[in-house]
This record gives sequence, structure tokens and C-alpha cells, in this order.
Amino acid sequence: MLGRGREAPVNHAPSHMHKDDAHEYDAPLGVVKLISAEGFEFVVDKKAAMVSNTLRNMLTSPGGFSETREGEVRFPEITTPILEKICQYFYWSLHYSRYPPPIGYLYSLLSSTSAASFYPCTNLQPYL
Amino acid sequence: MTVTDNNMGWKMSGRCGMKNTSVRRHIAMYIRVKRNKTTYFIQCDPTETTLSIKQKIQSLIDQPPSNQQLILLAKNNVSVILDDSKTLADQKVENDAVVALTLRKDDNEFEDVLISRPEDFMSSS
Repeated sequence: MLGRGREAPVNHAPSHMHKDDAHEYDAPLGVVKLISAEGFEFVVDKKAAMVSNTLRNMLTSPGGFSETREGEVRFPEITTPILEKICQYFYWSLHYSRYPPPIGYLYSLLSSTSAASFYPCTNLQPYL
Repeated sequence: MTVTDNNMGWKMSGRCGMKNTSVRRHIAMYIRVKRNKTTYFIQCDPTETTLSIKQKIQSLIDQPPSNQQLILLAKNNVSVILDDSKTLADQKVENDAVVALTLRKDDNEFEDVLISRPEDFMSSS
């Protein structure tokens, strides 16, 4: 679902990294690039992306996904406006991390984009 | 340098008496830096200078601050070129603001602002 051929160069992890940082090598600089259906790229802090349990699993799993090893995750079925709203939600959630993030906030964000009305919200559930 | 935690000047909010454990995850604000088809979410603080933001961008795109120009796109269609020495607060750059990034071209001039729109890339297949 998320995999797709790609010719982009691989970002190699710095060789001086300590072993304890092994789980960090996936995303250089602590950022990860999320790519929408139209090929738009959103570069977000890994910390923000990990608000999503799905992304957290991808970024921290020992074997790693080929996408996350290169610091990129493709979402061929998520349009650009929605992926941007999701990223904004990640940061909003970090900002208010002391409180449980109300899911209603995300839906209100989504309904504010015209694209959302063409997009079934249920498809987002796996990512949140 | 990384974009995440360094040089951030994390502030404790005295009002709510936060526990130390929650401080590290708490972010002051972020801005959306856009160029072509890419958006960089940059964590920052209102007291940071534009130069500091450019240094964070340098760690992502390998272009020195002198080759970057940041332009605040305000809602009333007025765009302001951000001054390296001024802070974000000084220049009314607020949380979730959209800032255009342009880079210096070979002829030493800065390129025009170009932010692609998804509508232009919708595939019919």
C-alpha cells in the first residue's frame, strides 16, 4: 500500500552515530518526509510524525520499512490538502500533548478543506 | 545541528506548573516553509531571528542562509521579505504561518516565489 518504486538517492546514516542511536538512523536529522498522492512533500520532525501510531510503528520497528529507512513515507491515497492538515494536527497535538488530543479537532480541520468532502474520512483511520 | 531540540529556548509556562517530563515535548510554535512542491514544518520560537530559521533550513537543504530568502505570505496578499536580524515576533510571523523560500540562482539573483498547487498535479488515472 505504501511502497512504490523510487529512484531517489538513499540518505546514508552518519557513520559516527553511537550504537544506542541505532533506532534513530532511519530519519537523518530527526525529520521524515511524507509524500502525498500528487507527489507533494511535507518534511516534519520525526517527533511530530510519531503522534501517529502507524507512523510510530514504521519509524521504530527493528527491521524497518524500506520507506522509513530512507526517511520517506508515501501516501498514494491521501491528497495534498489532507496530508497537510494531518501534519498540522501532529504539531497541534504535540503542542497540547499534556491533554488527550480530541479527534473532533481533526475532523473539524478536515471539513474546512474542500477536498475533504470528496474524501471518506474513514480512510484516515489507519494513520491516526 | 538538528531541527528539533537545539537552540530552541524552551520556555516553561509558570502558569500551569508543568512537570519537567512534559517540557521536552512541548513546542512553542511552527511555521510552514514552502518552495515548489515541498513544505518544511519548522519548529521555532517567537523570539528567534530569521537567521536562526535559515540555519535550521540549511540543515535540511544544504543551502547557506546567505542563499536563502524567506518571504512571509500574509492573508491580505501582502508579502514581506523577512529580515535576518529581526525576530519572528517583530515581523508578525505567527504560529502556522506560511513562509515562501526562494534560493539564489546562478546569476546571483533570487528566484521568484513558486509554490506549486496540488490542483495542477491531480492525476486522472
